[in-house]
Amino acid sequence: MTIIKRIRYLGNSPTHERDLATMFTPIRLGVWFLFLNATLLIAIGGVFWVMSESTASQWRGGMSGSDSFQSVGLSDVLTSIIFLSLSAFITIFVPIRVVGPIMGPRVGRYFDQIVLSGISPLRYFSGKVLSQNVFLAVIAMAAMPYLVLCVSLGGISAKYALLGVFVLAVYANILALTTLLLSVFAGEIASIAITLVGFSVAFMSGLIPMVPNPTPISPSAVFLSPLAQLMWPGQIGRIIPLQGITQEQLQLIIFLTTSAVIAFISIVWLVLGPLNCILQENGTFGEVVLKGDSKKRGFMKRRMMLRLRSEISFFYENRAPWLKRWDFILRWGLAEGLFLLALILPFGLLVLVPAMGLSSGASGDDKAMVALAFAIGLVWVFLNNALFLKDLTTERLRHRGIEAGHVDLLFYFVNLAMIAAGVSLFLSMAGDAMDKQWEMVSRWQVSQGGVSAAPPVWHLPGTTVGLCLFVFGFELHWFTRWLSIRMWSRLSALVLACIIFVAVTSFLPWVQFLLIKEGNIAGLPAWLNTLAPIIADLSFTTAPFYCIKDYPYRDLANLGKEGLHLMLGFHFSFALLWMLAFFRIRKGLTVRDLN
Amino acid sequence: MICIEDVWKAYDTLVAVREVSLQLEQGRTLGLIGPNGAGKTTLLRMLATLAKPDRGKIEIAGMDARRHARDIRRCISFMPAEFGSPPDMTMREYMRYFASLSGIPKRERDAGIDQAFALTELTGRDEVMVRSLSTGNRQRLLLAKTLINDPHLLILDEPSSGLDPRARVEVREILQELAGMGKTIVISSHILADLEEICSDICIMEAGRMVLGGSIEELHRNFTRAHKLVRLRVPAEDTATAQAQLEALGDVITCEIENGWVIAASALDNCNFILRELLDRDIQVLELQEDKPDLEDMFIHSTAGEVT
Repeated sequence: MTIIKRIRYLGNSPTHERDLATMFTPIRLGVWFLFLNATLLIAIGGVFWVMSESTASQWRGGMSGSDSFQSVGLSDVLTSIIFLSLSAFITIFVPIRVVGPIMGPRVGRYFDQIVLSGISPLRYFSGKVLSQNVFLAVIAMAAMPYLVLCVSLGGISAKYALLGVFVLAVYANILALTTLLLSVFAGEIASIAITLVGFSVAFMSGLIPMVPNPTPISPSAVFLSPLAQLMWPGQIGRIIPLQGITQEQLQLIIFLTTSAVIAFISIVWLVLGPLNCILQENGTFGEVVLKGDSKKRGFMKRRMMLRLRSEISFFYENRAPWLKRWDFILRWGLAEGLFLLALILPFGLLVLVPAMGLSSGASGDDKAMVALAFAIGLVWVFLNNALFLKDLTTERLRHRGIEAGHVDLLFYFVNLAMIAAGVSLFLSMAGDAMDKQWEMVSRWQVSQGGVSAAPPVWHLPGTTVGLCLFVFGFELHWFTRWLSIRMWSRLSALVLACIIFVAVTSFLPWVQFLLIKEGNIAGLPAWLNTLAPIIADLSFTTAPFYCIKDYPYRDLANLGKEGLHLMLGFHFSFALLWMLAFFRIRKGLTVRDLN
Repeated sequence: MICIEDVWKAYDTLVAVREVSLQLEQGRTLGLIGPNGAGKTTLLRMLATLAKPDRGKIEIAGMDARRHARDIRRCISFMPAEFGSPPDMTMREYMRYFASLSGIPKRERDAGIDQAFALTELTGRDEVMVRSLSTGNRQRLLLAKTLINDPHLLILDEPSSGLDPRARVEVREILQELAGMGKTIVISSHILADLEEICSDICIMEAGRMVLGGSIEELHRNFTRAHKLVRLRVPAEDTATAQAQLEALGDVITCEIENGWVIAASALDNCNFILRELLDRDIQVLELQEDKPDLEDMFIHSTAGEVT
């Protein structure tokens, strides 16, 4: 099938036709046009107000209007504002328009009919994405008079205007794909919430005047960078000074590259579908239920993801036969590829960005380097957990003869080992400062005065941090898995695990502060105060989060002089507890193999 | 066309379908009968590839329902008991939506829709909103939608449910027309009289099991009552005498009077002796009917009122 035929085939999607039918009604078009024009006029009016001499100086303190706005043409400002307004408009309305291809048929009780029509998931969802381009065309048409005005005022070319529309089209498609992907994997309510919040945050962070802006998927960064260059030449942060390429082009390249990666991942995973096990314990009409579900109330009973057998099987039974052959490689290959990309990216940045270069380890701020290593390592651990969590949805699910959960578990621990190795490598490369300062010292020993003369030193700080992350990853996995079994939702489990760990580790430095800095705590029995240093030693070494927290908290508590305190034994005991809890709960579940 | 072999399906501890085996040739119509909870809908959903059997095998048009669900879906159509529709659609939009889902090219859609509308007598109502349709017209629309992809096998779950007598007759006529067109139909219904007229084959289910199955002719042939009912109309003044005379006969098990009819249960298959007895006594027989077993009799006889 030629590409044109393929596109026509995908365009022949019922969701696309339905969207078109509902979009081109006079009332809807009128409302869109009015709303968009109002948005643009408010934005332009706001800019004129800010640009006026009095308000400009009021808003920007010492910087006068002549320093900045007067150095750029009116059309430059207008163009950026128009495209920014359109981006904001798209950020809000595209996810709202896209959401519903699963919930709608569910509520309308015709999902079975969709499944039985034999339509492939790709053709079904492609319609939703394609119709966003039509929606964008409508928006672009409404904004056309403003763009023509900008071109006629001079300053921007028609080519730039077209490029702007292209960026908007890419952005709209990415938004649509992300919303659909999350709808399938996490449920549509979660999808709309995550997409709106996530992309709004990205949009806002793209407004920070920095070239290139590190927000990779923000059109605001793309549209603002030319303006920022004109307004504050030489004053804004330039992170990556590359030869032969302008900062604006670099911003565009970052945006398009990230978009391409997201689009690729979204399309493949949408086509593959969620790897949810079809449990035998399903209700009269095929809802997946577990023992004791009838007794559960409220949130614990709710499952936002696809849960009917026909809904899940839609992704497996209606797809092209070749996908069945390549499913295993695509599914795990893509997830592992994504993980490896995330693993390699920070090293790439370190090579590219001299300001973050490894040589800075000699600058003396070694704790910042350890905190950075931990921060990156934790992001990897959480990403690994999100991608390869062996949760209930894949329990006992055999995929081409291999148990899917076991494959996930294997990948998870291999990746965890890679994280540990990566962090160790990073810290080893960060300079010889490690050997001098970052020793493992027991605070109890400190309190006993045992370290004043010859502190016990393990000259393996990088390895220790890596090992600590490995243990943390082990704990996190079992904890999230336990949560996912209770809640039957991978997303909820991941989010809750993050919240709990962040909450606990945010609290720990305060415990440390109280127990160590204040010494004897009034009101506590004497024997407890005697044990205080030991308790403190345990409490503030519970999680690697502490190491990140230590950096900002160090001035507050005046701690960390003795170096890092990592007690692996504590992690192991935590892990043991989680495992015991898990097996206790696991025992009560019966998941039979259907395959 | 359909081959079901020892099919089982359980929901947790509830076994909805067990040990069901049947075969249906192309162009025949199978009626599924059973009390609520007998497993009819589950069996239909398995036939429609919406549910998979836990054990056993289902083949449709020579294809295994477990392995070739996608191919089977192209040649079947399922009409659920429950009407579902996207919101705010006219009847033609509704049909276009499902035609598009089935992958029917745009240029062929309207012709197909017109044909389905003509068959279901919905022509001329294209612009009526689906939500404003009466139950009868909804069922017709659902049936029209079921026909849009020109399926070889139609699976209908209670198509006459909730319909008034006229609409019921109309739906029955449509189904008879479809059967006449050579479509294979599997239909579940509680209206036994309709099934008896439409179906060539019957499957009676109870508590997940198939308790009786086969062609209508076979069932009639094989179904024997312990007795045969004969209904006689005699002059009103002779009714009591006739009852007394017949009760005295050795081969008449019971004899009752109901709405002026004398109903005798005969132990013998040939009931001429009853007529001879009355004529010998100079009782005029105005009308005589032999009560043939119908589906209802078979259903009542073969089921015990169990539910799963």
